[in-house]
Amino acid sequence: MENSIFENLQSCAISPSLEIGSYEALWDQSEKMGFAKLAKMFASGAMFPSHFIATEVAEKYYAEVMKRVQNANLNQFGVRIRGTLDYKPSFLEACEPLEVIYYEGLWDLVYTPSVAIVGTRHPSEEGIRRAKKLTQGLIEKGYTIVSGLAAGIDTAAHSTALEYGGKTIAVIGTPLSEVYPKENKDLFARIAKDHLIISQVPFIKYEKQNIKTKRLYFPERNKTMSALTKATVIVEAGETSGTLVQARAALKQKRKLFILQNNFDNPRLTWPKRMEEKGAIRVKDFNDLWVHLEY
Amino acid sequence: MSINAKAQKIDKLIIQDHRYLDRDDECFFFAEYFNKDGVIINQGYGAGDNLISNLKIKKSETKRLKYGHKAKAIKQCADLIVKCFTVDKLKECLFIPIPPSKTKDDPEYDDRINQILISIQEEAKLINSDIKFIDLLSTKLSREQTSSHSGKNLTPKEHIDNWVISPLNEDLNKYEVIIIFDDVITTGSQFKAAKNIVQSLNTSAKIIGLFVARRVLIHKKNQG
Repeated sequence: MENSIFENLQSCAISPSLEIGSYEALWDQSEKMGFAKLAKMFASGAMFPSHFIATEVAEKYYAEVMKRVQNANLNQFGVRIRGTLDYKPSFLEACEPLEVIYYEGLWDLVYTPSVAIVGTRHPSEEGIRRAKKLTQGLIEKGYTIVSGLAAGIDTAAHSTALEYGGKTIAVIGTPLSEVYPKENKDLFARIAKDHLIISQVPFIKYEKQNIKTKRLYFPERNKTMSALTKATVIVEAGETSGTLVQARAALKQKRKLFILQNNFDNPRLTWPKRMEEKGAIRVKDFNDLWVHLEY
Repeated sequence: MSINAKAQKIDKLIIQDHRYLDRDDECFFFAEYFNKDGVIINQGYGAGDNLISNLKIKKSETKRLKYGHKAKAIKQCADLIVKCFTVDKLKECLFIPIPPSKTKDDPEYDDRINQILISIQEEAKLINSDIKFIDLLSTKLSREQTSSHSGKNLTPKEHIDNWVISPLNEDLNKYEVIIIFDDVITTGSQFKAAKNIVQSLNTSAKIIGLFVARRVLIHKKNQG
C-alpha cells in the first residue's frame, strides 16, 4: 500500500514527545545502555530515538515522564533533539554527542558566550574567594557562567553570577525532577525560573538505579558542560575530582582550559602539570585569562 | 551556508503555547524562539545567527547591509524546507502563504513569505520540477504584526474579516495536501483563520501548517 502524500511529508518531521518517550525507553530497555553506546547507535546523525522504539511504547514512557515533570512542578520544561535546528552545534563537538537534552528555563542562553567555572565540592576559603572574584570578572565581561550546581565551587559560581545580575546555566547530573544537593533547592529554583538548567539524565531509568550507578552521570555532565562553553576554568580540584573529566574533555574538544596558579602551588597535586603539558593554560592573575579568552 | 535540519511537529508537549491550535491540527516548524518581554534573546542555530530577526528586518531599516541579511535569511528558510521535505514530495502540494500584515500600498508592506516561496520554486526549477503556491489571501487594512510586542492578537474571525479571498481559487480542488505557510506561529490564530477559509472552499484536501519558527510562551511561575 502506497503512502499518502501527507504521510510522506509527516515522515520528514519528528515529534518531540515521541523522541522523549523513545529516549527513555532506550535507556530503560537495556541494562547496559550508556552515553557511549547511544552515541554509537546514532553516529550517522540520520537516525532518531523513535526509529528504534514502537510508537505505543514511546507514548507510555512519555506519559510517565510528564507525570514527573508535573510532580516536580517544572515550569519551562523543554527538550532539544540532535538533528533539529534548535540543537546548538557546539554540542556535536562532544566525543559522544547527546541525542536528547532536557532543559528547564530559557534555552536561548546557550547561544550567549559562556565560560564554565568548576572545582571541588570541598573548597578552601581561598578557593571560594577566587571562584567569586572570577565569576564577577566574567560577568562584567558579558559572559554567561556555566557550572554543575554541586556543593563548593559550583555553588559559589552560580550564586555570585546571580548576585551580580549575570546569566548562569546549570548542567546537572540528576534528572530535572531531582535537586542535588538538597541544600541547593532555592538556587535550583532561581536558576530554573530566570536562567537555564540542562540535564541529559533519563527520568525513568534513574529511579531504578542504585547510588553507585547514579553517580556516573556526574562526570558525563562535565563533558556536556565543556562542549557547551567556550572555555573551562578550574578553580581548585583534588586528584580524583570529576572536574578532571571536564579538563580532559575540554582539551579533546579543542576548548580553552584554564587552571588557576594555586593548583600548581599545591605539592600534593600531579594533575595541573599533566594538563598543562597537554595544552591547558596556567592563570597567575585574571588578566592572563582575559587575554587568552578574547583572543 | 546550507543547513540540514529535521522539521518538528507541534505535538502535545508544546501545543499549549498556541492558544488556537487543536490536537487535530497538523503543524510543523524548524526552530523555537523565546520572546521574552518582546525581545528575541538570541534565536538561531549558532550564536549570533538570527534567522527570524533577520527575516523580519523592516523596510524602514533596510539599509543595504541589513538587506543582505534579510535576503540571506529568505534563502536559508527556502533551503531548510527543500532539504527537509524534498522537491519530490512538495511538488504534490499547494502552498498558501499567510498574507503580510500590511497592505500593498503601505510603505512597510513586506512580502518575505512570498519571497521564501519564490526561492523554493527556484530551487525546484533547478531539477526541472515545479512547486506551486497561490496568493489566496490579502489584507484589507494594515495592522501591527502579531508577533511584535505591541501587536494585538486578533482572533481567527477577526483575521478572516480583514482578509480578501482571491477569486482565482478553483485550483484548490486539484491538491491532496495544502500547506499554509508563515514564518512564525504565535497563537495559531492566522493559521486557524486560513484553514477555515480553505476548508470552506475545498473540503477534500488535507490542510497542514508549516512555519519556520514557533514562539515559545514564557510561563510566569505562580509564586506563592
